[in-house]
Amino acid sequence: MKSKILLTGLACLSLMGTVKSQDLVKLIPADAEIIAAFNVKDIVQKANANKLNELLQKAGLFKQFEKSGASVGNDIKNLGIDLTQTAYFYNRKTDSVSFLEFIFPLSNKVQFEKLLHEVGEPKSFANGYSSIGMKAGSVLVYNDRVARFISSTMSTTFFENDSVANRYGIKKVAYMAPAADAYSPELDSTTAVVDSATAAVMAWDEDEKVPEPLSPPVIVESVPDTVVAQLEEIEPVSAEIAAAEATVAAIEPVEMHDPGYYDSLYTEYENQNRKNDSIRNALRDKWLLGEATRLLSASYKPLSVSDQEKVLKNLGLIRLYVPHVEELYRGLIPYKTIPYLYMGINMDKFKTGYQDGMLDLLQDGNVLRLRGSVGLDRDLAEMSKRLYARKPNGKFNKYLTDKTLGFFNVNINSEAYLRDMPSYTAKYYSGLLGPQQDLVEWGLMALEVALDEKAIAQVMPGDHLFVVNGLRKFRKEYIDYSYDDDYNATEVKKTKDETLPVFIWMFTSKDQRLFRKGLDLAVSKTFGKMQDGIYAFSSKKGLDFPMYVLLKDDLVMVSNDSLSLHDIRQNKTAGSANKDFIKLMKQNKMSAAIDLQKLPAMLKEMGVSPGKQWEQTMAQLNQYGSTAITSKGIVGNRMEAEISTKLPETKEGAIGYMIDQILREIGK
Amino acid sequence: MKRVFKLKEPLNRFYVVICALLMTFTLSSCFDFVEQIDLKPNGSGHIAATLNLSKSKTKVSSLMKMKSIKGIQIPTQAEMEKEIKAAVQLLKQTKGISNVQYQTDFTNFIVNISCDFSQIESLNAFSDILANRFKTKISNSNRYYYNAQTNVFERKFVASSNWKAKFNQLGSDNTNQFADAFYTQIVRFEKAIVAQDNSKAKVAGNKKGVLLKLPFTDLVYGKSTLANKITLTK
Repeated sequence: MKSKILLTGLACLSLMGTVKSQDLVKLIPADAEIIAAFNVKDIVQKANANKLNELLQKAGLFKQFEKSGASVGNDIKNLGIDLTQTAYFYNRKTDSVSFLEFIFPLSNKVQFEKLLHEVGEPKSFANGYSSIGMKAGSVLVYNDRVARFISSTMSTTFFENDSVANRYGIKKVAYMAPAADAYSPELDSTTAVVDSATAAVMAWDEDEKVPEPLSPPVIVESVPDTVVAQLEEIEPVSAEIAAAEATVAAIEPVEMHDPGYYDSLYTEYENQNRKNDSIRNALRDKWLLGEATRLLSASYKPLSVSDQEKVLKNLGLIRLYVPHVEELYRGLIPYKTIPYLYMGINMDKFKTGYQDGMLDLLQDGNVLRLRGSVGLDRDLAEMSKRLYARKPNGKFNKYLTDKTLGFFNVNINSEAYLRDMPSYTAKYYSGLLGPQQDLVEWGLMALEVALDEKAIAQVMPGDHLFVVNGLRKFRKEYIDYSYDDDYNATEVKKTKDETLPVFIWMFTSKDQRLFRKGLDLAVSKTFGKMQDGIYAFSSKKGLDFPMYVLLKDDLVMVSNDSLSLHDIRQNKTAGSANKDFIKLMKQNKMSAAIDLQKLPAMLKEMGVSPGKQWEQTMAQLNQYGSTAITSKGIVGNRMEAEISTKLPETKEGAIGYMIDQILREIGK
Repeated sequence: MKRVFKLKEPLNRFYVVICALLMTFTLSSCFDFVEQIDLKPNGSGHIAATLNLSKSKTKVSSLMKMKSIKGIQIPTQAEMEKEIKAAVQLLKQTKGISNVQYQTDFTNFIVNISCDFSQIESLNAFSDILANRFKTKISNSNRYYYNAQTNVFERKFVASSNWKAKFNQLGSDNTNQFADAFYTQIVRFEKAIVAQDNSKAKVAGNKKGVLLKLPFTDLVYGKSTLANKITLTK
């Protein structure tokens, strides 16, 4: 009975934790562009709290807090931050300003407040929150259970639009005015700008405006996205400024040869820039205030339930979540620039087919993983499934042996690729083509009709394996000099042994006629020769090593090592199977891996010195395992990929090991 | 009157490019640099310099596919050709220099530049122009002198401490790595040699030439020197 109560209690506690986390995730607005979730509990646990304390102590963080009068005792648990919950970060953009917010749970408000003594005095803000003004353009607001750092940055392009700049009283100034006798249509518009500026400019301080600690807001709502809304907020011009403007306009033109003229130009230029900066900064602070008010009063649409789930479900250490990858992508490309318009490229019609994106940092014992996935729309998911509907040739397995340093395998269904790619390109990229759209679509259709996918798929179905299998000594020719008794030099050819990696690239080909015919043709033209069933091409300019080709069963093999191909031809086993690599290859549509343990010995044998600064790292590689990049292709409607590194075995696991390395570096 | 002309091998531009390349190419540690001077009694003559990286051609070829290594930019073949052509152009414009020839072999990675000089002074002038243009101090560490009246040919050479420091930065294995890298200098005269000062140099059977072949690392660490004083018969 007791155990049942205990279990129920634990379940409730864990549920409470989830509820708390979900509470905080609800603070993120629906239009967040990028969201990051930090599983603080897991991070602290896996990093080992003691090590984390040591790291923060060495980084000087605790010292900084102690200076401000807080007594934290070199322990992150005394910071007042709840280390059992999830913390969040997100950014939100409008056409004029971008906001970012960092939300972290508090366990002890009093302790947390002590950390902020040096920053300023907390003031009551709104909705039970206190606030402390941080550096210009940012504010920290907090209550008993959560702290929220909100920061705003003005868009660099927003005020480039003349009408927008005019509305806010920003005047564009050039250091040197145009020549008096040259007609410039801008002159008229400049006058107009002055007029509107006169109407808009407030009594700005000459110096950078230092934001004061925020007081309870009087503005109910501030929507920086809409220019018109802001117009209502702009204060009327002061009489003094208007008078000053009028005086400047009335001044007679100054003689160009007078040095004082240039000084005055510069002063005017500087003054106007200062005014412009003041306007921008004041707007930024006003919009920040509006944003903070909006967020704290919860008068915004929160992240949808499904997005909240995506942020929290199976959260590892850190998750980066992008709700709308396509929109983010569009925001990053300057598609409204003149070249795009000139070429008739309509980016509005550009589609990627990508939905949400996710990137997870995970620790699995001593393995550190970075796992990413992108949601695809239905058509793209279906097509991608067809593209990746191929497994590696089973015969590839025997070439991944205990001698293998690394490999790269990719499996694409070339038949599906050739069939689907023209329609895919037309659907997703035709918007980019502008006036050429019809022509390109026609070309793609012609290509689709002309290609015999089934025949090509017989020649090269789409599975490839590139494998580096150890080292071998190669005999290389080089030029040296010999000297006669009178020291007249003559060139002589000598040979030396060089140790180089052996690679083999292989792919399935059920119809090898095309390759065989081509290779025979090369031999007949004396570009190469046939030796024991292997085509050999000597190294020449553009080809650093001799190349050997073997056609065996349903495989085409290309290598820099004839002996390896001879062994394969005679069915000699190269070594025992590398089960880890085979498993990686079989479980994925794309995989690449390198056995880091083998790397130092291999480089040494090759006579490669990576340099003094890498000596210690190279020595440590002996303790590492494999580093791999893999992709399972399409899982559900998501494209997945992962990078993983097997770090040396330690009690604490991968993160603990990494902190040890950082501590060691700091200690040097 | 005592006529002493300062001489410096004419291919400093070439050296600058190659030295930068070599110092960054830890891997291309096998190379030969051969400098041959044929000096006439009046101080005119012919010089040929050859950099031969064919012993390391696989590694050089691999490295040239990289844009940079250890933060230092690796020149492309086109860039190297451009540099060599620029050096040749400058060489051609130098007073007293004629018959400038060059050959490049980017399969074996061999570069050869040669020219005639009317007087040793022309070569010094050329090297000084280049050293000044590329802000290098190479010309200060390596100088030639020839006195046609006393028939004394002298080369002064000072290993820069900077070379050693830079070389040490490359790692502890470098002494072994560069074991197969050599600097060879051959100076041939029309008159017979009476005496020469460098203990590691050899005099030709006909007594009209001196060969000095030194490991690259010995020069860097100052274990050997290219400095020599050769006295000819009058």
